[in-house]
Amino acid sequence: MIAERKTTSEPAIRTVGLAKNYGDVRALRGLDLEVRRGEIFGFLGPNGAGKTTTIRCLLDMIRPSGGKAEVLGFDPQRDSIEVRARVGYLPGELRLYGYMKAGAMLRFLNGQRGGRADWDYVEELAERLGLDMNTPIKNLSKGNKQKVGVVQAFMHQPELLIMDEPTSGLDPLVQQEVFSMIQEARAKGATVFFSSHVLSEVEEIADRVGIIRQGILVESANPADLIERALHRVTVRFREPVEWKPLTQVPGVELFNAEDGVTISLQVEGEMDALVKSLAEYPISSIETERPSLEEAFLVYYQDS
Amino acid sequence: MWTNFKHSIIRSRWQIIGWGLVLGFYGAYMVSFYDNLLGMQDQFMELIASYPPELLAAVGVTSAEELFSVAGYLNTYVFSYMPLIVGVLAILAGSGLLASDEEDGVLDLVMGHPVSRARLFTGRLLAFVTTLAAIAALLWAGLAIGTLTVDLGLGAIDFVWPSLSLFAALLFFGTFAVMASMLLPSRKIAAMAAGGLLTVSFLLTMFGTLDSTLATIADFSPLSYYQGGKAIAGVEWTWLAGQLAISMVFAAIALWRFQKREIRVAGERGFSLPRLRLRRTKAAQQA
Repeated sequence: MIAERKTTSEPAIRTVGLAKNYGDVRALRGLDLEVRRGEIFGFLGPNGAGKTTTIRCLLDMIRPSGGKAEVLGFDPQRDSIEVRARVGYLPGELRLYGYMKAGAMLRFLNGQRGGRADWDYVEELAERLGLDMNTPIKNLSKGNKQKVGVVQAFMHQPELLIMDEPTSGLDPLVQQEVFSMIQEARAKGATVFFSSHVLSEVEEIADRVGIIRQGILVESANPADLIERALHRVTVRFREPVEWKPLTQVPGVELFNAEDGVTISLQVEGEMDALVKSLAEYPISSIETERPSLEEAFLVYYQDS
Repeated sequence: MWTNFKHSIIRSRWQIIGWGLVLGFYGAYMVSFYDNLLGMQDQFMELIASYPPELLAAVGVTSAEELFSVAGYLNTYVFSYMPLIVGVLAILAGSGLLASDEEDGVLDLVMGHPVSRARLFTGRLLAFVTTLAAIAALLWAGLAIGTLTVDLGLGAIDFVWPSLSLFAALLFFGTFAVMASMLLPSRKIAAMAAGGLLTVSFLLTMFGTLDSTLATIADFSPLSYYQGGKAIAGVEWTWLAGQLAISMVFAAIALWRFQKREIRVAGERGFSLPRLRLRRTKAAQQA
């Protein structure tokens, strides 16, 4: 069912200085990326950052202008067939043959793999996602078409899943099912590399995230570390109106909101020790701190793009 | 490769059935009408004498007497304009062989699977060739069936040669369209280029029989080497071989380009033609 696995400690995906130019546009500007085997890696970035370009370079649909890439130890261009035999790919812009039924489309794609998928497993996946295999694709909603895409990516139990926005168009219940499938695949030793704009889902399932901006990887860490490093929001309520402006002079502290002289909201980058010591001089009624979400942590990278 | 061959043939089945049956019925009817034509030979000779030479040239008639030979009759009434009519199918199918799925975005998904570009291309090309051959074969079958109603002094095998000549002409323009789709920015432009070549070729061949100046230029027209019905009287094997060989060259160029090109995602346009880019630059400067 799965092409022979290489037992190796090599990363599942590695790019070194990967570059891609479209005329004068530099879509990738020297991307250094590493995805470890057996992890779920979330690939994030604003629109036009280079996420899809990266994925398409890894699958030899487009050819890089420079740098190097390796997928499961193989060169995507020289060993293109080997790579694609081991990868389950879900494109961001999924298009299917409208005249086919869902089941026929899956059989056709299975045929491209030499019929290797276990058809009982395919039917099991379809049932889990609530996909009717006998409906013509042209009559399926966007979400149901996406289910076909998910099934075809998983059906041959690949070593590596490369998915561009896997839950696009899916309802929350089906999204959860897809997350389960991803985690089950990881438990069986597969690596999952996916891009998404839904940061809550990335936070939920990714072991690590990489953030690409303007063709360069600007950050790579696990979600918890990213959130820890992100801006915390602190809301302070004073017992009486005070002169709070000195608080904004504390390193790493910025004013977020001041409703009146009594309640202020501050954004704190890094540790809170300096702010807490400064607050000790004030008559405080209450202090609330808000843990930022991955979305807020990530928005910093979006803002300057 | 066979998965893609089977898939492409199944996709083409209604074209084979539709075009093939219609051409087959038409061929059978025209063969059965031959006796009627002979019975009205005098009236037809008068009629033909009144036609402008350009019209006669358009249907491949070089002399009125030739029209009443079996080969001339079939050439005039069946084969002379077949490349223009069935050429539409060949050009549309050829230009869309890969470009259609690429522009629709489906090729992106297919290419995510372990199928080499060469095998994908070859599978689809074989299906395309088989489609054209099947249509030509159904036309042949119709002609052969027509001889059951009238004795032309010919056997079914005699109709193989004009059908083969038509197949070679369709393959020529069809593979040109495939090549154009891999070289030009879009399927539409490729179909336009191939359609333009077919139309110019048809007109050049037609007018080349009327004007000695154009006759030299007409030697470069692909349709000048299309025998059509006249192949019944004897096949020009070098012409046939030449058309098939050039078709293979077109296919080889198309394959080479397909292996080199980058697969577009759905909706992504192809490269800009240099002239258009110049216009946009001027507009940008004026702004």
